[in-house]
This record gives sequence, C-alpha cells and structure tokens, in this order.
Amino acid sequence: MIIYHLVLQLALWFDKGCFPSHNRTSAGERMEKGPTAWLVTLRPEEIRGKGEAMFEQFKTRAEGVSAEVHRFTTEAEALAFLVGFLRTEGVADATGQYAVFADCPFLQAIDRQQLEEVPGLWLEVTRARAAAAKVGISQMDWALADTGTLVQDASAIDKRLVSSLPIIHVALIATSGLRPDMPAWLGEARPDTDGYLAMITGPSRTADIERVLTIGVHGPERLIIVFVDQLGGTN
Amino acid sequence: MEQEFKQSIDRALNNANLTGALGKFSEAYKVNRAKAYEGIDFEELRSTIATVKGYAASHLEELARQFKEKAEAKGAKVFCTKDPAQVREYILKVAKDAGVKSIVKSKSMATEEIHLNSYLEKAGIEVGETDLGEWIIQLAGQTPSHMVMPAIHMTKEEVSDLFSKEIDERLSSDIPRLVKVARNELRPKFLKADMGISGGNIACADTGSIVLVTNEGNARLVTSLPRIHIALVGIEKLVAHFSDIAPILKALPRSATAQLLTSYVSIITGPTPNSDGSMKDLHIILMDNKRSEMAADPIFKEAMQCIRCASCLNVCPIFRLVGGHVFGKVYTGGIGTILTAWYDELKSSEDIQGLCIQCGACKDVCPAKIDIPALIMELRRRLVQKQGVPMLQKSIYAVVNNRRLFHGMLRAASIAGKPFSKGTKFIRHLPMFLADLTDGRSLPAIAAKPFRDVFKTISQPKNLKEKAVFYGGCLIDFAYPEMGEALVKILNKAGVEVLFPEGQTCCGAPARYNGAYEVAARNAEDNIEALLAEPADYVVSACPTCTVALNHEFIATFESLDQKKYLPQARELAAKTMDFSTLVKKLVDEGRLSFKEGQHLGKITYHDSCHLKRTLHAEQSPRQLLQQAGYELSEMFECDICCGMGGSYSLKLPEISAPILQRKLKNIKDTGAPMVAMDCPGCVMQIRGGMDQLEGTAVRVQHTVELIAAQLKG
Repeated sequence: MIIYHLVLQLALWFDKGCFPSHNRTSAGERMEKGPTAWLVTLRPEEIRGKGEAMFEQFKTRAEGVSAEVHRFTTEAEALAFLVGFLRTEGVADATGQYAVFADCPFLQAIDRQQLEEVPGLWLEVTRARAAAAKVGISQMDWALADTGTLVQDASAIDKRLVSSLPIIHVALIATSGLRPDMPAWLGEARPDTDGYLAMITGPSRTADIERVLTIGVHGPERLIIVFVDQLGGTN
Repeated sequence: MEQEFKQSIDRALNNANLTGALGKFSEAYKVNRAKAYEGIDFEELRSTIATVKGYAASHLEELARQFKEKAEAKGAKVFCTKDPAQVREYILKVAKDAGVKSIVKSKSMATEEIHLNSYLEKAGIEVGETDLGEWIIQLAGQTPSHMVMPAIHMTKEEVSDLFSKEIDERLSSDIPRLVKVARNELRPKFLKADMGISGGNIACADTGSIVLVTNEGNARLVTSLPRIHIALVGIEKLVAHFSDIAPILKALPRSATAQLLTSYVSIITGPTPNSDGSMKDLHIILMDNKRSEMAADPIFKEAMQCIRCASCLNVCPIFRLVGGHVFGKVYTGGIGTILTAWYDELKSSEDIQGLCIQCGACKDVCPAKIDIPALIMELRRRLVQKQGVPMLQKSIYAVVNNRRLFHGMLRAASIAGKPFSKGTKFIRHLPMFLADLTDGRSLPAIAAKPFRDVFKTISQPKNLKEKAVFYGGCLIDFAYPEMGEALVKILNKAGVEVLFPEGQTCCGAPARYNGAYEVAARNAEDNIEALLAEPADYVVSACPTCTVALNHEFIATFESLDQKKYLPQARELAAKTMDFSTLVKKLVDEGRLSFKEGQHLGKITYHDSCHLKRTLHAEQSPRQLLQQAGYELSEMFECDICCGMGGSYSLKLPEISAPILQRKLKNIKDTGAPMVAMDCPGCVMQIRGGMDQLEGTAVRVQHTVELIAAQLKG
C-alpha cells in the first residue's frame, strides 16, 4: 500500500500521462483468465482533474446517508476544528464522556500540545476507554466518491475500537485519498497485508422495527468526516 | 395442499399487521430500488454477477481448496464439510476447548439453516443474536420471516412487549427508544463474549478473504471484540477473485435495501490482533450441505448465483400478502422455495412452491439473473414426476388432452352454467364448495356459441395477400368469441386472411404450470400439427399466455422431457408466432392499417399482463396503439403487478388471488379512467369479474383487440 501511494504521488507530481494502467485488462486477457478483473482504475491525472467533482459527489452522497462533512486546507485548521468540536460535545475526564484517538499520521503532523489540553482525550486507546468514550477519532485511508464511503486498513484493533464503540466517530481523511468508486479502490486494496479492511458509509443504522429508519444501533450514531487537503503520510 | 398449510395462509391473510407492513414496504421498495439503480446498467451488472457466480458454481472444489490454502497461509483455520452436523460439532468443540461461556452472533442465514443456536444452548453456552431483527425474533422464539429483515412481520407494539419483558421495565413503542434499549442491552454482551460467530456474504478464493455486509455495526463488534471469531460461510458465497467483490457489492445493497452501500463492509483476510495483544483465533467454516449437488444439477445450478438480497421476496405479490412464515422455511420467498427444496429436501417445498403464481416479477429484478419462476416450475415438474399428479387434476388433464371431449364439455358447461349466469354474461355465485371461486369475482358465462362455430359464419374478403393462423386459446374460444371476431376484422383490413384450424387445442399452460409436462407435451404436439398444417405468414394469438406457450414453452417442454421429434416444428412455430398487439403495431407502422382521424376517446388506463410484459416484452405496442387510436393514457399505480388470475392459480388459491385482485381494482379506479385495457383474456376474466362485484361505478374492462377494431378506418 505504501509503495502504491508513493507511485501515485509521483505520478500526480509529474503528470506524464504515461503511468501504466496496470489494472486495465484487455478483453482478450479477461477471456483467458475467466471472469476476473472487473476493475477500471482511473489514471492519476484523471483523478486530479476530477478531484473537486469527486469531493462534491462524496459530500452529497455522505450527507445523503446522514454523515457530516467538513473540509480544511491545513492540518492546523483541522486540528482547531477538532479541538472546538470536542469542547462543544462536552468531552471530559468522566466515564461516558471520554474521547479516544487512534494513532495515525495526522497525530504525528500536528502540535499535540493543543490536544493534551483537552481533558478526557486519550491518545492511548484501550478497549475499556473506547467503550466508555463519547467520541472516537481515527484517520481513514480512502474515500469513495460515488457512495460517500470511507475505507481504512483497520487491521490495528485501536482503529476499530474508536470507530465502533463510541457514540460519535470523527473520521479524518486526506483529500488525496478520494477515489471515484469501489472498483477503482479495489485495484489498490492489499488484502494480503491489510487483514481487516473496513468500509464505513454513514453512521450505524437499522430499519428492523417496522421498516422505520433509525440511526445509531450498535455503532456510532454520528459520523463526522473531516477532509484535510494537505495531509501527508500514510496511515 | 395440506390442510394445515391452507390454515397458515388464512391466518397470514387475516393478520392486518403483517399484510400492512409487507404491503407498505413493497410499495416503497419498488420506488427506492429504482432510485438506487439510477445511472446503472442493471442488465450489464447482473450479467457480470451471473458470470462471476456461475463460474464459481462450476469450480466449487477448486475454489474451496484455493480459499482454504490462502486463508490458512494467513493464519486462519479453515474447515470444509458437507455435513451440517459436523459444523455444529466443530463449533461446539472450538467453544469447549477455549472455555467459551458466551457467544455473540451477527446475522447469518447459514446458522439458521443448521439450527445452531439451540444446539449450542443445549450444551450450556449462552448465544446472543445481535442483529436487531434477529434479536427480536430470538426473544420471541420465532424464525426469521424475511432473509434481510427477519422481524418485518412484527409491530413496534409487539417488539416493545418483548423488550419490556426482557429488561423488566414497561417500555413505550417509540422506535428510537426501543433501538436504544437494544444498544444498551447488547453492549455488555459484546464486551463479555468469548466468541463471535458471523456469516459471510462473499468469500474470495484468490485471497482467502471473507466479506461482511451490515448496517448496524454489530458484525464489526462480533468480529473485533471476542478473542475467537468463527465465520460460517456457505460454499455458494465463493468467488474466484477479490475483484469480484465490486459487482456484488454494487448490487447487493441496492437490491436488498435500496442503499448505495450498507453502513459497514468488512473484508477480513486472516486473523488480526485482539485488544489484549493476542492474535484472533479465526475459524472459517465452508459448508456444503447439498450445495455442490445443486451446483451439479444442470438446471438448478443457476440458483447458486444467488447473492441473498431477497429482492424476489420484496416484489412478490404473494409474499407481501402471506410473509415468510407461510412462504418458505428458513429461507423464504421465491428463492427460498428453491433453496428449501435442496438444502432440506424436495418434499419440503411441496406446499410452498404452489404459492408461486408465475408472474415473473422476481425474475425481472434478480441481480443474479436467476430465472426463479422457471426453477419453481422445474420443482413442480420433479414433484409430479416423483409423486404423480393429484387425482382431481389427473382427471382434468385427461379431459384437456382429449380435444373433442374437452370442447364438448365446454359446450355442455355453457348450458349447465345457464342457471348461474341468469341470462347475463357472468356467473356471480356458485353453490357449495365452489363458492370460493366467485367470492369477490364473477366468472364469465360460457359463450352460447364458441368462436370455432362463429368463425365459420364470418365471410372474409377474397384474394388477401397474406395469411395468419389464429390461435384462439380456450378463453377466447369459449368465453369471449367477440375478441376473436375483432381480431379477424382487424387483420382483414390489413390484407391478411385469417385461418382457424379446428384441430387446435389447449396450449398446455395449465398442465405445465402444475408440473404435468407430459400432458403439456401432448398438447404441444396436437397444436403443432394443427397450426403448421397450412402455410401461413404469421401465427397470432390474443392471449399472451398462449403466445408464450407457442413461442417459448413448447420448445422448453420438449427439451425438459428430452423429446426431440417435434422440436424442429416447435421452433418453426415459435419463429412465426406473434402476440396480437405486436403484429397489429407492425401492420400500422407499415401503413397497412390506419386509425380514424381526430378521435378523442378520453382517458384509459392499461394493465400489463405478466406474460406480455415479462416474457414477450411487448408492453409498449398496446399502449402506442391505444394512444394512436385516440385514447389518453393514464397509468395506474403498479400497472405491471399481477391481477391474481394466474390461470388455475385463482382456482387453487382463491383466498390469495382475491386480495391481489382487490388491490388491482383499486389501482384501476384510482386513475379515474372510465376504461381499462389489457391484452390478456385471462386478465379480462379476472378484472371484469372483479369489477362486476364491486360497489359503485364500474370501470369498463376491455381487451385491446376490441378497442382497436372499433377505431380503424375502412
């Protein structure tokens, strides 16, 4: 995954238009291999060109399934939003009011001083803390525009604890992680190294009683998505 | 049909909560599903899924082996077995060896199939369902009534009673509050459980990954919190490639719940660390339970393509009346009937297969391109083969197969029916055990003079340049000869001479739809002999069911029975056969027929007959003809949903046919149009008969053929 990101970044920089679209299979190949490779991956330059449109589509789709979408240019701006959000939500050093933050590149890039000033916010995630937290924060790896879906290599249990146990999940995502759709992402997915790939589309929901849509069953009842344009590193 | 089964139908039909909930859902589903598929080429998508899953079904052993190898290389333990008993034993052994006291489960139909919960509970292990719907039915001690929405048959009041008892606190029926109760009650169970059991929606052989699709987030907790995770996966979930996930995940949520994607999709490849730093003990069980036998059957192999979206339940006009506790066992509805016949045994499907009215609505929406009605027909055929035809039906077929006797009896019925028709065109009441047949619907009186006699009195213009053989079918011949007369009039105007071979007989549909293929085959032979005897340019019928028999089913019946003798002629006949509206539209387009000018005939609504729309795909021609004639088309709600006739279905299951008809009548009346047109004399019989017993102003019910005949020039 890391290597793939590097290659992608390079291609974005140089924009040579000669990036090999190795996921495209010809009809002939398809016949030969049997029913395989239904992937059509956009070339990086296409991705850049479509970046804004993809963001808009993502936002519409995600909001359509009750997620809240924010976007900031810098990590510092996103951090300021986050700190303000935690205060507004009344995060405090008390059971049921904690916030838990799973380790991620965003945490490496920012001035942690500001976070340390928030009482009840834990950067060391344990199962007990996550179970007693109101807010869980993690960084996602990809965003699929056509369904408003976030995707993450969630092999590290912390990432799943913070996104499944608390009432609110704040999901940070680099804008460069946008992909048009699932087939585009599947070409980048590495199930061989990422043991638990998690897709999240809006908050937890059910319609099991009389078909009435109800948000927030076993997972978070709010999903706050925070795009950061200048967010480097790999999750 | 078993008496007990009939009683369960009655109970369901009288359960207003059930029919109300299912009815409302099916209406909303149709709209939402269409919206979810906007901008997607559904035919292309489902062809892809059919290819992917079809490939897997013919490479099961190879894919299972590859999956095991890949998943084990990642550290999972994979157990493959044909036997459900071994699945239960394996899970219990893992649980006992690890000292498991409590288990949490996310939704898994495969565990329902093998009745896992009761087995584990008997061994002293606490088993908790965590999907809200599954938890509700677990508390109620019931089985799921729908594959995707297990508790759709229950009201919020019933749920609140169950929850109140569970937490020992009187709860209101406020749904968000009930959902909160479930969250709060189940959270500690998640946290204390030693083992999580899940199903699997997809299993990718080339990576050893399993894919879980959920909305509530319970599967994430089940697979993350307990130290042991067992995934029970039916081998029909195998696909060859990781990339095959894409088309399946594109269709599954859209077809299941009209979502673009479910809230959560988890792709698990090998164990990952637990929160205490240990590695997850991950077991994947690949269960066969007769699936490989199904895959080896040349006809039923197709059912292996199912992705368990349950859309066949959601669009079924019968399912929405009776629900899954009547229509199915563990697996419900159309596909459930087929799966029951295999996973359980053929005999288990005996009663439920009879519920299918063969309207084809499910076939249209199946994202795996499974011809569910055809497979149910095949079940019927095999049941008849195994157990024979019931006595009453047998005597009917003996008559149907003897053309002279059959026609003679229909003539006799015309006289016998007189006391009941009282000089009108309807039989409104029948005595004693036949009373059900006229409950909510009058039957047409048998015509005094059948079309075969009327035809001889029609003088057609001489020297017409083309010839069409008219296949009347029993309803036009014996109940509605005027439809036949109209057809002759129209074709004559276009310069087509009409031939009516006397040797034609029943199209065989009644026998075929009841599984009596041998009878249907003899009907087919007789008709082929009669209809091909004289050279003609077209064979035309004004009954879509007959048309389908002539141009699809004769061939299919011979092929099923492996009878080759008449196959070439059956193909020749099929190539010539056209339904009335398609032929007339063609003649109008060729300028051989023209409508009177400047006609303003007012509003009309159109009812789509199942075979015309979903087998012949000819729903546009009659609409265009009626508009060209001068009618203003006003579409009704659910215009293409079955009227409840279904040939002999309305005789076998009048209690189900009646409410379907009532719904259709309401939809027709709601348009405010004074007239409804349709292309099928069977639908005319059903809907006209229904209108006859309805209070208030009745809407006129007409076959398109008569309406068009009245508006042509010349």
